Amino acid sequence: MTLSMAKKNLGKALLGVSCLFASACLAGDALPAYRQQSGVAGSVNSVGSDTLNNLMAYWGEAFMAIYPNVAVQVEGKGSATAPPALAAGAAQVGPMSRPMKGSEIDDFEKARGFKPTAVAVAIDCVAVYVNKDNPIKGLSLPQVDAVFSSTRKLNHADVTNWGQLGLTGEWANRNISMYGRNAASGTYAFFKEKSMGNGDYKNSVKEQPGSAAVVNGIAGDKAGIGYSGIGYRTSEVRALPIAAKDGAAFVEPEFKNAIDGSYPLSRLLYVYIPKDPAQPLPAATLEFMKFILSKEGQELVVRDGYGPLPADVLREQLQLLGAK
Amino acid sequence: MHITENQARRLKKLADKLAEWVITVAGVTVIAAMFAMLALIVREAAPLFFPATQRMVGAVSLPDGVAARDVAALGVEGDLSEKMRVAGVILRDGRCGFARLDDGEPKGFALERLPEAPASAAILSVEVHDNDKFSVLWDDGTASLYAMEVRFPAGADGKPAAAHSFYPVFHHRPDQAEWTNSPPLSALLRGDAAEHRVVGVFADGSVAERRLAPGAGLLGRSKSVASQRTIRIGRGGAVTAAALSDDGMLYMGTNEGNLLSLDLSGDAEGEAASEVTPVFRDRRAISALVFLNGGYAVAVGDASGAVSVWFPRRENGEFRLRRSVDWPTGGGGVKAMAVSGRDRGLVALDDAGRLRWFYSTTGNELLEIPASRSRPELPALNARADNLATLHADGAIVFSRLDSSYPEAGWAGFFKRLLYEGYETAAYVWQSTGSDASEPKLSLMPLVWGSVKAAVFALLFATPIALAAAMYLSQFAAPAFRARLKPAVEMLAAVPSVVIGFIAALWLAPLMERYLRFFAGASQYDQRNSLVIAIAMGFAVIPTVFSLAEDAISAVPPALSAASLALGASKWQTVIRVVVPTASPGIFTAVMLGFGRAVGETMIVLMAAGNTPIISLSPFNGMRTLSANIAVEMPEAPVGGTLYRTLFLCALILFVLTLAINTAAEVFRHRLRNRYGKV
Repeated sequence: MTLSMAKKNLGKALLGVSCLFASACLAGDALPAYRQQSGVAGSVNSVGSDTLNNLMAYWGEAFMAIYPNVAVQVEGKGSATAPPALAAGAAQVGPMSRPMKGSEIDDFEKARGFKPTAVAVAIDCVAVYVNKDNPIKGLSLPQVDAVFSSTRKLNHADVTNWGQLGLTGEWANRNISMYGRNAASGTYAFFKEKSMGNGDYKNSVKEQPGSAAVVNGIAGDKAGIGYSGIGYRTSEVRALPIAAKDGAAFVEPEFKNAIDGSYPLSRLLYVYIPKDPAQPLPAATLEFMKFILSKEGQELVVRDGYGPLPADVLREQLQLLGAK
Repeated sequence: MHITENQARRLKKLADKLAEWVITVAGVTVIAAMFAMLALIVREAAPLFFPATQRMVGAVSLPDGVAARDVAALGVEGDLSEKMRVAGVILRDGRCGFARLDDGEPKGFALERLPEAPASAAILSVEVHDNDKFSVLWDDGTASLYAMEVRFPAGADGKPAAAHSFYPVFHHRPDQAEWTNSPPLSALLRGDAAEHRVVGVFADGSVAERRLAPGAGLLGRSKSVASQRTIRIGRGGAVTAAALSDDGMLYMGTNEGNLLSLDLSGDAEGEAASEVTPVFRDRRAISALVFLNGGYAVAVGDASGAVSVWFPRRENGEFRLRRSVDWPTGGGGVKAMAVSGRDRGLVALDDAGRLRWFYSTTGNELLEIPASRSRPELPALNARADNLATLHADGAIVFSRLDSSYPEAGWAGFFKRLLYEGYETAAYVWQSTGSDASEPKLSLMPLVWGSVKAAVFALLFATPIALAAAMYLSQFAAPAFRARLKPAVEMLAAVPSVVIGFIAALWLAPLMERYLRFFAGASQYDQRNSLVIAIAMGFAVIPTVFSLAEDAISAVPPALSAASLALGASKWQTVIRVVVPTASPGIFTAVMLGFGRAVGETMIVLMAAGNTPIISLSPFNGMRTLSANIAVEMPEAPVGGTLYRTLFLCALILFVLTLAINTAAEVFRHRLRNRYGKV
């Protein structure tokens, strides 16, 4: 699958989500509750996205509470760490905040002989955070591009201080201090694609090893600005409303806006599984995935600050697991 | 038991032997381990500099009664175990088929009509994009998008089998007979049945666009919005080639050497910005046009056989189409090009039958693929760009295996200023990438710069303090005091660098920002900057420099300073004129070893330098060092990939850098000792 197709599929998935969400809400369709199975034991190792790190830990804890004989271990250094770990068999589940690249699928297929399966697990709004004392109302995508990108493909004049974004007084001459993720991050790749037309980051963007580090950096730096999943919002930072174009209305990073497509930086979060088409998944992995896609699992999604998937979409995802 | 003297002697000898043996083994092991490590690093990094290779695997002939000129399009795919190769062929009469090569064994193929093909229509033109999508224009005015699907499921015997088909994605039938009466040069189709774009490009420079898009909002699925527009540029000559990106950027080449660009990305009803860029002064015709992977840069093949790459670059605030690289003429016009779906590689075929393989980021010509059999007529690459199929004039389809061997790396990729896509000027950039669509930028210059800058700043801070402390302790302090203080300072070395980095990043950096931001004035002030590093890493280096310098100064014979004092020199004069020059070889070594220590230091820079790969002299900017880079990028580097090997190269450079510094320190020390040390 080429990237462009992946991009389209993502858009379509979100669009599909939107339709389904509307119908699901209207019909009052309940999320499927998780039913405990007997004789589930073993271990589930998760390697991948930092955006999904806390959520994976929540899921793991809750899952281990149901099955004391299952050990769930979670490591989250970035989406790019998932494909190598899945290919090597070091992980049974690989959370990713972006779809796999073509080359990553190639490498996986070379090692395992089949293609990995992407299971959507939650909805995320990538938020642009500023310090809580920053008075700015919101930003347009071209402005975001001009702040973060050296290539500025959205063609806005370069922005290096807050005055150029319309702030006055003591803020007018304050230089903008950018925080971002390292290249292992799916959020890094997503932000690059959506907010800067696949342009390049300025080399003055400080690369942080995790989402929490980005938010902490901004919390301690008045002139700071950065991006991360909405699940990492704290009281020390503010998630800015974003307009898709200059002059358009600002849209808050909220899930209803993600679902109707008006918030431009919304995306699906995935868990990749190495599902051999000829064989069923190991019981522990299968049950863990079923738990993630259950009512209980999706309640944890809400608790971690992300958006739950509608019931219809959950059912589609369940079918991907090959479970009855 | 009583041991005789003889026995005791023998025992002693044995113990002696044993000790000698153990010590020798340990010593040799250490040296061997070091060489083994160096060898390992070199082995992992060396493939980055290997040249690209190609190997012909086999050939399959077209069925009887079909000639090479009957073939309209070609596609290729191979399985990952490299046992099977499949080439899809579309003929001008609307039939299609698959040529297979199983383990080098050619399999003849059957032809059948393309599924859902319009009755009795023939094909006017085919445009290939994304390696496996074919926009087919029929002579009855229909345009169809076909996808070539090839899979290699494991067969019953465990060996891969091949399943292949051309399946129709969607068809477009214009309402009027307009496309039958004066058919477009080519039809470019993108998308699927629910959402798509059809662009008809006419030789006179007019463009007809038809779009089908789902409506916005929650109920978007129910009503699709169809729209159409016709745009006529009508300048720049007759159109000879066209390429369309997924975003809707259309480029057309003309017979007068102009590149017409049309931005179809905006609203379907709106105006599309168009521009005519003269790309060749001598107005030679453009014969082939194709988007490189990523959909931003376009490769232009011309009538002289040269290939060049063009993309929009900002000039005085506006984007203009500009050339980044060009490869000189091969002889004969460029007939066709095929691009990789993973990197910035492309293969170009010219009229003389020469098949050349280029890489756009570095501007390198990777390889000229030698002609086999008769003249090649049409090339095809798969998305991974490891399989090449060429159709030859004698009706053979030749399969080749390509190995580009890290084309984005090499000397140019690491050490040359490169003009990356969308950049205004050539630059040294480190930005390993997160997606296939953007170019990996692997210049090591910012990292080498960062390592040296961090070390220099640390030494600027540490050297005066360490030397002053060393002079004070050895020359001025009371001996009893000295005996206690020297171990105390050396204890500093025992503080783990992660602790220093932690304190620097979370306490020192915000503190310094409060007081020093003022000095930066209007220029960029990063909270984690070189000054923070100077102090934090300075602390890590001080014990090394201090300890060695103190030893050197203490080793100056007391007779010298006593003589100096006896002749009436003051204490200060004695120290600065007699003691320090005498001890200078040792002091110099101390400073150089401190430098070596600072270059290799990782945790402090990783935590407190911001890891921004910038080349700048400003003390208010951060940096990324080679060592921190390895730590930052390690988790995202798949084993055996370009980034993985590049990190080994970073390690090798670090190794060589420290080795060079330490060697230089030794050499200088010897020189200085010869000069001052003869006492």
